[in-house]
Amino acid sequence: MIYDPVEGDPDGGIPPGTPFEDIPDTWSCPVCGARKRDFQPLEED
Amino acid sequence: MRSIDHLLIGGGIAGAACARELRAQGADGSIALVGRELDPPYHRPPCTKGYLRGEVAREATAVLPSGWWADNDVELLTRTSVVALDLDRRVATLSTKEEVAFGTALLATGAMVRRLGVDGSELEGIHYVRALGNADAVRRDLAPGMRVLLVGGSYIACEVAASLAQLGHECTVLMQEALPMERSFGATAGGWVRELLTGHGVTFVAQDALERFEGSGGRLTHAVTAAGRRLPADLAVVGVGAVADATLARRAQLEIGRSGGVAADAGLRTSHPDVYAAGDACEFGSVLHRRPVRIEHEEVARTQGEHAARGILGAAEAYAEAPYFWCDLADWATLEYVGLGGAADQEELDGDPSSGRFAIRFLREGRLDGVMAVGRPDVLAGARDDLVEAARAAQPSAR
Repeated sequence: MIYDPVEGDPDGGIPPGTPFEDIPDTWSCPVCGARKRDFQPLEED
Repeated sequence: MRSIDHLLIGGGIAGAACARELRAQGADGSIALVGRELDPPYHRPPCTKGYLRGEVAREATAVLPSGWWADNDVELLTRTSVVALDLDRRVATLSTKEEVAFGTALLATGAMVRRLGVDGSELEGIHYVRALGNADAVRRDLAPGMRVLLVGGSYIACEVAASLAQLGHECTVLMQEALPMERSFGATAGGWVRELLTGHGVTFVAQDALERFEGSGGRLTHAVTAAGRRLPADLAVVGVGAVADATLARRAQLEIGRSGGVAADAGLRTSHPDVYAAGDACEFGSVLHRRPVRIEHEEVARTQGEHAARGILGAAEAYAEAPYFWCDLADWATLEYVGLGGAADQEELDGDPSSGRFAIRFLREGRLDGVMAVGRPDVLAGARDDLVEAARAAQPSAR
């Protein structure tokens, strides 16, 4: 997934508006279960 | 703002199959497929089978050859999400902030793993398997001869147990069921799966549930069950189901079905006439089941993607494919099933499960509901037609 700070992950306990840096390390991706550390920054043009 | 004739949302097999069918049917408009995955659309089944065991290369999992997209003038946007869909304006907003106008759209956003919330879920060594990246993470985390705990009694847990046992790991399956896969295929098939896997060193802890994970130094060491068992585990793979990803559809105010999937009619059209749905996210009014269903099988996703393409181009047929599913238990056996997946009230066994060649016909109220076969392609060949026939006989108006 692409984590969107505006949306957060309410089902995973992450309120909308939470920057990625502020997500706890224990969080896992709602789509595939990957850990926070497995995410890569999205480079925008 | 640029404009796309056919916008396919979701980078799995349903979206890829839709793109391929659109071109095969002669669609000459512009097509774009937008998917959040890092890779072009790929087959998910190898994630628990050959790819997990390191026997299948990443490129070999691709649904379409790498050159297909350019050759067929289909724009492929990987690592990109559609974050908003304005159906009144027919405009999609991408994660790149670009806005794209579209004529028709396919929602094939797939499913999301069911995450466990038990204590200790944050420990290192706990995995899910849905994407190639998950399989990569499991392989990176494995060391020779590890004790692996599989949480769940369905096909993900059984396939991963078989794959990792074949690689020499000591696997234990913890499940609520009495027998593996019995919820889908009943006790006879479940007993056969247990015997097969037990014979290859897999241990089953049945009719019990995960209470919590325990660890040391941040790393998983044990799982504690509801019955008080303390199971040693160096690594765990959780396979406890998935839920439809209808986030975008819900936000776009499309109708959502009772299962949480994107509601679609028998022809896979959603509550918006120019938006179709397919695959794991789609809850459609099935003429074979005679009720709305959502099915998470690769073959269903593929054929639904193709069906949606024909719908997008003006066909008005109902989707009436008998669902097909297969399960590879390492290279020891392949279980195949074609059917409606209902709760059967009668089983007809053909052959001896211990021989590794048998079939089970599932009946409900005297009507054929499904056929499961191991090593019996002859039985399965005619089962699809029998099922469609049986379903139509029960509802003569269904087409």
